[in-house]
Amino acid sequence: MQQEITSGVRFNFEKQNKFKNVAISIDFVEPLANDNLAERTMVAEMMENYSNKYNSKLKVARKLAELYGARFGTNIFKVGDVVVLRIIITFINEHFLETKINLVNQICDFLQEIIFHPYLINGIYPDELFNLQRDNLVDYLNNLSDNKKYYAARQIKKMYFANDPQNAKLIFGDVDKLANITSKRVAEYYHEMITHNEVYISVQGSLDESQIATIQDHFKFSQRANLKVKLKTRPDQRSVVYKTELAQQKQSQLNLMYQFPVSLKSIDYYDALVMNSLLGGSASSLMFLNIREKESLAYYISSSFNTTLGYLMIQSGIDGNQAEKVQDMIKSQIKRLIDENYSEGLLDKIKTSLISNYLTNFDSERKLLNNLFINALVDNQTTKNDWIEGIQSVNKRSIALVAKKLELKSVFLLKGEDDE
Amino acid sequence: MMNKINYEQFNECVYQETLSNGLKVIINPKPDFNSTYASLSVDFGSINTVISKNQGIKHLPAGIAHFIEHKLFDKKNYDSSDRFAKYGAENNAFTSFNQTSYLFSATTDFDDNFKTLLDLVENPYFDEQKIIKEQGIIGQEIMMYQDDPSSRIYFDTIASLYSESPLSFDIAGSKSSIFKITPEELYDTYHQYYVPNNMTLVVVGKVDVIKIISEVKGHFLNLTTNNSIENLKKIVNQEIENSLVIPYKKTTMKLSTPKVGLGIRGPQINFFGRTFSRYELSLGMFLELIFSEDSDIYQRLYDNQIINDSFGFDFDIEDGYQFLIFAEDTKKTEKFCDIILAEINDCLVNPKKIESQFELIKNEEIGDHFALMDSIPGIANQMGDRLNDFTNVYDEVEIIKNLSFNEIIDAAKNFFENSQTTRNVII
Repeated sequence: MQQEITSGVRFNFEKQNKFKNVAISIDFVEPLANDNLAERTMVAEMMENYSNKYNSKLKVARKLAELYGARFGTNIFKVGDVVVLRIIITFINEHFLETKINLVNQICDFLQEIIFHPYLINGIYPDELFNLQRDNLVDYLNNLSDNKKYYAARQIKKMYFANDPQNAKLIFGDVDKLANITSKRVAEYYHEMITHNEVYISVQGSLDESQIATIQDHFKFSQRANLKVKLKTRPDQRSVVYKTELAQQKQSQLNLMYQFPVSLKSIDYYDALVMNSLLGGSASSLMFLNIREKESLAYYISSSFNTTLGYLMIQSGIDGNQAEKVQDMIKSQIKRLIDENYSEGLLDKIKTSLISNYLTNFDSERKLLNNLFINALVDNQTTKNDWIEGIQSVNKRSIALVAKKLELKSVFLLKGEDDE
Repeated sequence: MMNKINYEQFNECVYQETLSNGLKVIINPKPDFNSTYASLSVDFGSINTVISKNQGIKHLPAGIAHFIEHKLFDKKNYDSSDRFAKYGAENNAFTSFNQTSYLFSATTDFDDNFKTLLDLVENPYFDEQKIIKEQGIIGQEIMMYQDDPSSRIYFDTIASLYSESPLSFDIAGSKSSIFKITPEELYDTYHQYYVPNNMTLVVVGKVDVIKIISEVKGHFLNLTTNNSIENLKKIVNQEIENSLVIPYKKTTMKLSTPKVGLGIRGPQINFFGRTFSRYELSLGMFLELIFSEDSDIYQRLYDNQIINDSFGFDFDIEDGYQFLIFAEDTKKTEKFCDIILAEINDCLVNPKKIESQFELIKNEEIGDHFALMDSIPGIANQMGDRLNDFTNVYDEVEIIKNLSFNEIIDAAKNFFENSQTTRNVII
């Protein structure tokens, strides 16, 4: 069931009888270019922990426990050129409870309170709570860089998106901006978001019509403009940039970024999925087998393909003194794809495994809920059969063609000082 | 004889059978799901570093269990991972202190994948050359964990709680210990512990129960039931019991904010089956009553900035040891430890202060268990073990409903009253 309740507000429901829980998400969407990342981060933080009625973390947590341990949270992420603030809750289907209660209704009352009645006093979030929440988050973000794998991935994104810095930003916004943001500004932004953002309400579970009606009745959003551009391609003519940094650690991280202009809607989308999996997206991949297993040159090595921003990233953990050799080997694995120099058996294996992973997603209520949202967001009508046929139709020739689109743009080495 | 247990409230059933060779098989069919998850676990992990040899006891290099886990995939002429991949399965394996597990998840070709899993575990091939290569790979893996502060704070704290004992060794061993491993030791160790009466097979998802049982009956025929394992485990437990606690340790890793690990070592326990499950759930609920977000103690500590969003705790109760670790990123490491210990002590002396939240925590625990029931790997990993007589996620809901507040306090007293602590700081 898909419907546009009013302009800019969509409702999607998929009935699933196999799950014992129900999942509801409410997504607020706006262009990344609006540059409100830090504000959104704080709205999400405050919404997760306080409302007017539940004006302490303790009250929120106790309410959730009372709702049979409903799992509630907010989340922020990017899809292409838009940013999403998600409110998500999953809870027991009341059918399984021994006591008869209308849990769907109680859950919706709770969500309604959280979304429409933020904890504002004289129009702003109470400073003490707000500042504590903000400062804790800033500490957390500053500590993230202690994870070297994370740090190296951040650095290469900064290099790659040097001309498009919005995309290099953390989803939380600049840490400096976040550290200084005021509760007044965030409260103002909350009203902007609630009034102007596109809204997607998504529901998965074994629910009947009256339960669906209950959900819809709780979330009456006013009409708002629909967003025009959600995914765009981005040309880039820069030459390759190399950078090395030293860190106190035993291993080294070598990351490479390739421009790879393929998106969810491109005609060669399935070729790109298979190509990535063949190159480094799985444990049967050429990089994994030849660089890690055969040559023991890496503890981990993998590639990932970003289907909305048009890049492919290779991450590896290596002995820093072998960085050049590893780079050469990565390049020669790509060459093998272009030269069609690998077995049909390997290709079949990769395709079977992609299809199997795809089917496994149907066993996760949260993944199904997310698919429901993404498909509505980018207006994707692909069916299960389309997807499987799309993967099956990929061949060596089409992989070679899509692999030729890979253009190396950035190389980052985080070299361990203690590397022997 | 196959035993079928119906759980009508959940619309589920679980099959259990112990084969004549001692292998325990547990199956939970989920016909509406696409995938099937199968895991074969051996009650043998990093702490089991002794075997019987020539009427005596032989000590093994640290990391041998993890080494076997890696090497079992590498057969003479093929790699088991390739076979799983050919049949579209995701496979994995992991080694903990006292267990090694091999598993796959698949949506097609269950029979071929299942045969691959059985073959993986029952047909070892260890040779000199392949071992040398593996030493390089595992050496890298050890260094990777050494560089990861979150992993370090956890394992270093355990190492301080049980210094010099097998629990203090890195699960993967050290670079020097793994270089001592020989093919002969691998075979001896494998034959000691990889025996059907020391293994459990769990299958959850889209399955044909009869077919699984009949297939598995044709396997593990060459591995003989071995009765010396219990004695070997006793030797290890004794080493663990005799180990000393190092009260304080500090390491430098140039972190932005220091990390602190507060370790608490409880006394060895000597109960099994449902009693064990009740104890484990009780201790978990006691800790939730103090340290979950529903607790006013937690909120007070959070508001006073004693704990922050990096706060976490984890406990592990096994045959031979039980410990609890609190960890946090904070500059006030001593204050953090002092206050956590004081709050626990306060609740033991005056349990009334947390009793009012007991029913709420029960509700929440039940909700968490329902969440697990929608996850095939979640159910499989919660199928229990010998120690708790295979208490599964459905059984646990019944246990939780019936727990009394007094039972929870008794469990906590059992753990804390004879406990020892360590403080571990990484800066």
